[in-house]
Amino acid sequence: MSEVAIVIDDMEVKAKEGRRLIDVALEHGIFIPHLCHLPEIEDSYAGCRMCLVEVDGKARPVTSCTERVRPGMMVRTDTPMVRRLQRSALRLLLSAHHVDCGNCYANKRCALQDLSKRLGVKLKVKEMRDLCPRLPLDETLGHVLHDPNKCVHCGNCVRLSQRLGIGAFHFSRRGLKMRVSLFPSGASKEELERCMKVCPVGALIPAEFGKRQGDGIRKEIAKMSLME
Amino acid sequence: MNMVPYDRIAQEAKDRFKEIAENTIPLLMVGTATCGLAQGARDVLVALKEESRRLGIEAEVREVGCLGHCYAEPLVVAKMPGTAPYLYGNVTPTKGSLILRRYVRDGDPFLDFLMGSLEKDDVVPLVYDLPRFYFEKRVILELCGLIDPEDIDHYIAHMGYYALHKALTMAPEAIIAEIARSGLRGRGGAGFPTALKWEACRSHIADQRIVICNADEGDPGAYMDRSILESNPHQVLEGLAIAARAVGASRGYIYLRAEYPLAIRRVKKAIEDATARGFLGKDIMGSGFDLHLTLFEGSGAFVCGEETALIASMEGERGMPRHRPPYPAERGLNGKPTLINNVKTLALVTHVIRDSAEAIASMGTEKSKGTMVFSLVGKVEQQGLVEVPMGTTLRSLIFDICGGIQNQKGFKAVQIGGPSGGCIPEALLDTRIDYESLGSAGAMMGSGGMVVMDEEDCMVEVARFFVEFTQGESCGKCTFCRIGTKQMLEILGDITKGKGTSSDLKLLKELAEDIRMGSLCNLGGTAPNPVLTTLRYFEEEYRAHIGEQRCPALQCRELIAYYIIPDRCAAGCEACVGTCPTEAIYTMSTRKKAIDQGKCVRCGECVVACPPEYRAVTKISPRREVPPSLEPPPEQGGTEIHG
Repeated sequence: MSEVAIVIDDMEVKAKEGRRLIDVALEHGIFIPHLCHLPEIEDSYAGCRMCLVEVDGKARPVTSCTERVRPGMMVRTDTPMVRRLQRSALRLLLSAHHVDCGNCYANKRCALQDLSKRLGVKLKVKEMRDLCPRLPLDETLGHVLHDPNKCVHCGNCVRLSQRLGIGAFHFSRRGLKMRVSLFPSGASKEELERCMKVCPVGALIPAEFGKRQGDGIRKEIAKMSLME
Repeated sequence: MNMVPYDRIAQEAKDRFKEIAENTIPLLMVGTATCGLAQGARDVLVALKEESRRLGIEAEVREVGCLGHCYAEPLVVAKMPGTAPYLYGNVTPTKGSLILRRYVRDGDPFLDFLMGSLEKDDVVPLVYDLPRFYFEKRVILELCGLIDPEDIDHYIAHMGYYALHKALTMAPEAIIAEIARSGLRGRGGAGFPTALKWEACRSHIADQRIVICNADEGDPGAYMDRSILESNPHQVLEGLAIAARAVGASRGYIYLRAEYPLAIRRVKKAIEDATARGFLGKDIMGSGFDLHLTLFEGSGAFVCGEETALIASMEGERGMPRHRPPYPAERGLNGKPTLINNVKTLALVTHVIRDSAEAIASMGTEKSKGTMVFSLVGKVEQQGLVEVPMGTTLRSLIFDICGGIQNQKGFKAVQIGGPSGGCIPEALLDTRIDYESLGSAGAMMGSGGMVVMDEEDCMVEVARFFVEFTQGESCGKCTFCRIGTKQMLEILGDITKGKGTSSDLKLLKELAEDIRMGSLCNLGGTAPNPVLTTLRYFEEEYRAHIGEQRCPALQCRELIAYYIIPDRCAAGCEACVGTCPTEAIYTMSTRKKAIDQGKCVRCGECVVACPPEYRAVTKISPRREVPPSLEPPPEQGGTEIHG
């Protein structure tokens, strides 16, 4: 594939034709919000809906992880429509997220914290309903725990585990009840840790951190069952 | 190429089917599609068989599919040798044996139960003069309910597989050109031009191409595809085989949901029979063209009606849509170019090739050609399947054809296109049914489901119902659909409970727009339509719920109260008291009844129980407007026995 010139936010950028727009932008220091983008996996998931950009000639914003470089492409990453949709998606994710950063394994390296700072969205979403599932941590895999209250359903662990051929993570159920389910598949600790590392938030954590992160939610669950 | 002549195929079928084709003995046909069975057609069938044996009447009793007249099921067609076939509606086993004795044995057509004649007749008026039949234009439904779906000869005797035979003598380009001339657009919802889709699939070089019939019908209240497959499966198989020939596919699948057991059985049998007769399989009718067709049972996820999710589920993956492009026409099942068409599209393909492109193109509007099958359900008088030319107005469909609203109630809205569609109000009833007009009204053609609503339906509740459906069926992949529809659902639920605020209304509108713009697939992208259209046409209902705690349709349980009007209540009548599950109804000193609002759970049983000559129980919203009761309820727990 040949190198072509495209313009992202008034900056001319050279890139191989057919490459994913998001990869090119990130390599050139142009930040595009994203959660489910994995540079090492060529098939984009396009589920988080954060990496929206506007491309000249397209009626509505498109996901830059599925948009391929074409010669002469004109891209804007910061239009009002893009920002509106990104903030809306982020607020939705936060409305279903257990915001308890002080006790979270991913505190200070969490993609949600980063994005809320960049997009000017408060971590505690007041205007929406609280949709945090309040479920106990999943300890099926031993070395690595899954916290469904933190999960943003980006599918990174699912796709990497598929790539590694370990089948330790998969999606189950539909709608808001969709979960990452864990399967004891005989995966090694190293493989599980690789999957843990692609989690953009604190949904996959080392077992030793489980008590601290899980205590808060355990209290809330206990309170809920008392109320019932 | 040395093809078997079609005349020979047709003649052989007719020979095998002499009794039916030439009608030498009485023929009784019972509609046993799922809708008929639900109304008791199985009992009618058994009764007819037993009774004819008992009476020693030689008659052929056949199962046929669905005529689409659900309001009159079970339906029986009786054809005596040399006379026109007569249609009887609402047949019970008793009525069935009466028809057998009075008409089949004694020759009296038994006018009491007769709907009409299906052919011109001197004695009995034609059913086609009844409004419910008169405005219809049956193309896809032409043979539905009139042939035995499990007998391939019955189909062949009606020019079955003639279109495929003809297509096999045509160049693939010529088939596509014919489809293009017909103006056919996809009947699955979006209305993409069928010929362009075929052309796209054909243009991709591959060692194998695949065709799939999408029969994953799942909209609430829609059952056209099921009925078509249960009533005339061969028509769809034939269309699929023509499509395969046009795009050069050698593998075909019918993706049919497992919740349709009867359709599965009939399609399976149809595939077996068609393969045995050489209409499918290797070297079809001596043409050298191969098509191997398999039935694939979907496991009932609504989202699998979306092309890419459908393919994922066939590949054994979780049924989740993926980003398009690449479209399935380029990279589909197992990476092969794949053509996916709806049941009705393929049925129409058969007719385009059998008759001509003009036959379809002459019907409809400038941009929407041919006919469309709708299932009309809800508060409409004569429910069922209706096939009309595109361009018919909604008013004509609901009032002229289907007899208007049940129980002389007022029309409020019609929900078109299922959970992806929208609610269209009375002011827009003269909208013509075509892709563009419905789209600009905020609804969409969808697959053809129409739910008619009357003045007693609350539009906030309707929106909530459809969003609940979409949220439950969302695959969960993308943020907007997974969480956004749940937020909308929670807000709508709060509004129906009187807990909504005006800032909720603003949030609801913003969310609806964001979900529409930001979702990955069309399930999410169209999920806000019921909300957006009800907000657009019925915003005052939302405001009444929020501002006044009032449900104008008197439907939202949390916002209504039941009240017994003392002047109407008959002293001494106890009908309501016994039905109340919470013992909320008490007797006053006048022996009239009153409701203890503190105990009432608003189930509405007392309304049903109150004899029609009194009609004393009424609904009131908002609840604060219930008049104070004339006497307070008796002391709580006064009669309780302790110990």
